[in-house]
Amino acid sequence: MATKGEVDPAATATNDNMGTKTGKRGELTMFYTVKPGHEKAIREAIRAFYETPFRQNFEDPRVVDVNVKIGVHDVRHVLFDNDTRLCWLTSFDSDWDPYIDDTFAVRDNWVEYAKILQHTNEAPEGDITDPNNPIQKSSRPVKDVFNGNRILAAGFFPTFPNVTVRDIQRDEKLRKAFEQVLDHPGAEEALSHPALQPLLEFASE
Amino acid sequence: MQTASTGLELSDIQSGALHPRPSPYAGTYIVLRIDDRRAGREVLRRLIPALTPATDPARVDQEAWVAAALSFQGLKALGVPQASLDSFPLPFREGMAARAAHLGDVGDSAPENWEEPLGSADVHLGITALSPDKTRLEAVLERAQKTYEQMPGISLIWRLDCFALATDAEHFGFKDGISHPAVEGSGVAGSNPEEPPLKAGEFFFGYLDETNEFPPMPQPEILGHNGTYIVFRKLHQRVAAFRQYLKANASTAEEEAFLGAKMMGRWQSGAPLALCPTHDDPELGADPKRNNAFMFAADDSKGLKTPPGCHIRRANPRDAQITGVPRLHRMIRRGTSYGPLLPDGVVQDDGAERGLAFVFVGSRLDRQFEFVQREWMNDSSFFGAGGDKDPIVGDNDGSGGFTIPKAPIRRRLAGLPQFVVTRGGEYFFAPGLRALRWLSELDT
Repeated sequence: MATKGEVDPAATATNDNMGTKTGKRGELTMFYTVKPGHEKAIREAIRAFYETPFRQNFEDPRVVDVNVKIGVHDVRHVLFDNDTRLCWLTSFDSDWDPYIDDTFAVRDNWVEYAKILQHTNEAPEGDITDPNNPIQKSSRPVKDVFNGNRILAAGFFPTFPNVTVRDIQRDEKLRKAFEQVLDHPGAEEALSHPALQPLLEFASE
Repeated sequence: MQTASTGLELSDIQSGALHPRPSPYAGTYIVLRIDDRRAGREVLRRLIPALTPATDPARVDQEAWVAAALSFQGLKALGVPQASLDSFPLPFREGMAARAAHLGDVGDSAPENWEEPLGSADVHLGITALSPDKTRLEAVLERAQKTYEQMPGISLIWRLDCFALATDAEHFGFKDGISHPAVEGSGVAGSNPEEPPLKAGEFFFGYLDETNEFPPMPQPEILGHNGTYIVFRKLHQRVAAFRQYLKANASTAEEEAFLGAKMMGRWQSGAPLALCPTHDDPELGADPKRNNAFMFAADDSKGLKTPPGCHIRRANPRDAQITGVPRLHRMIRRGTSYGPLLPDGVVQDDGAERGLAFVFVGSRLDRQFEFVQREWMNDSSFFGAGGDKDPIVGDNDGSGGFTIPKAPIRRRLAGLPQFVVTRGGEYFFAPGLRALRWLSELDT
C-alpha cells in the first residue's frame, strides 16, 4: 500500500466502472453529439455555465469552501468537429458515485448541467423548464445521462494524485501564514530556533 | 409499491433491522448452509413465525428477538431466479471477502486469515437471536434449532455467542451503541436531537432517500420492498495492545484516560468530549437525552475538543466541514461483544479471542458502508489530514499517526498499531416478512 505522497500502482484502476482513478483522484470523461442547429445555443449554455459566481469568484472563501466540500478539481467542456460534438471532462477527489451524489446534495444545481445537456442528442426529450419534467424534482435524469455517456479513460495522470482540494486549501492558508511570518521584522531571529529549522530552509525563497 | 410518503410499513419490516435491543442481553449469531433449496425454503417457512415485525420493538420482557438475513450465495441456494439475482448490486453479489481491498481487510485482516467458514460461499442464512438473559436465550435457540435440525440439506456451520453488558461497555471499555439516527416515519427517535430524521429510503427499499430518489431495489418488488442490507463483521479487539499504547504515550492513569477519550471522541462513560472536553462526566455519559446532543461546526471547527481524526467524528462528522455530505453516508449500527473481558489493568495479552460483532443496516452498501470504511475510517482526505486512519478501528500497521489538535501546538501520536482485526464477515440481505414468505414459496 502506498503511503502519502506516493502513487500505489494498483490504485490506478477502474473502480466498479465508476471512472478511472489514480491515487485519490477520480476522473470522468463523457462524449455527446450536439443536436443539429443547436451549435450556437450549446456554446452559449457553456458560457453561461462558467459565468456563474461559483466558477468566477474563485478567490471568494465561501465559493472555495463549497467547491472543497464538493471535492472538485476541474471541469472542462470542449466543443469540436465544428461544434457538432462535445467532450465533457472533470476530475475530483473520491469515486464517481459518491462524488456526484454528494455534489448534488451540496448544490442542487443539476438543472445547470441539464441546460447544457438539453442541446445534445443523448439527453431525454422534454422542456427542462416544465414544472412536470422529472428533472425539476430529481437529479436522476442528469446522473443517468452522465452514466450512459461516460467513457473510461485509458490513462490518467495527475501530478499529485493524493493531494485533495482540501489539502490544497489548507496548504494555501499555511503558505499565506508563512509569508506573514517572513514579513515580520523579528522573523529571522524567531526562525533561528532549532525547532524551526525545517521552516528556515524555505525562508530564503 | 414504491411510495413517496414517509409512512413506513412497519408491519412488514423486520424489527431487528430498525429497533435496538435494550441492554443487557445475551445473543447468538448462527449461520446455516443450504444444500437443498426445498429444505432451505422449509426452514424459512418455520422461521417466519419467530420473526417480529418492526411494529413490535424489542422489550425487556420479551423472550427473544430473532432476525434472519440471506447472503447472495444464500439467495442462489434457495433457487431465486437469475433475473432477480442480477438485480442486486455488485458489492452484494461479490460478497465481503471479494471487497477486502475496498474495506482495508488486508494483512492480519485479509480473508485468507479469516475464521472458517466466514467469507466462503457456504455462508447462506444468518440468524440472530437476542434475549434479556442466557436462560431465555437457550430456550429460544432450542426452539430455533427445531426449524433446521434433522433436516437433510441444511447444516449449521457457524455460531457466535455474544452479549451486551448493562453498561454497554465494549472490550476497550467505552460505552457503545450511543449514536443512532432517526428514521423518518418509523417513530424511533434518533439519539441526536440536533440531527433531523433521515429519509426512510436510506435504510429500507421502496421509500425515497436523502437524494429524493428511490434506492436501487432488488427485484421483483415483492422481494425487495421493505428489505435492507445487513453487514456483519466479526472484529477481534487487541485490548492489551490498546492499553499498552495508551500507557506508552501517557505518564498517569488520568492521562491514559484522556488519550483514549481523544482517540474515541468520548470518555469511557460515553460522555462526549464535545460536551465535557477536559474531564469525564459519567452522569452525562449515561444520559441518553444528552450524551449525543451535539454538533461540531459552531464551536469546534478545528477539533480542539473532539479531534477530527477520532473515531466518532470520522464515523459521523455531523456538521463538521468535510468534503462530502454526512447525511448521505449514515448508517444504523449495532455492536455486540463476544469473548471474555480482559480484567482491568491487565496489559499482557492472554491470547483470548474477544471483540465486537459489528452490524450495519442500510440500503446502500456502496454509498454507506463501503464508503465510510474506505474514505472515513481508512483515510483522512475528507477533512484534510492525508492518509491517517481511524486510531481505533483503522487498518493501521505501525506507521500511521493521529493528530490531537491543541493550542498552541497540536500533539501528534505516532506508531499506531492495529487494534482491531477482521476475523470475517459477510453482506446479507434482510428481506421484509412478505418477501421471506415469497422466498419460502418459490417453486423453481
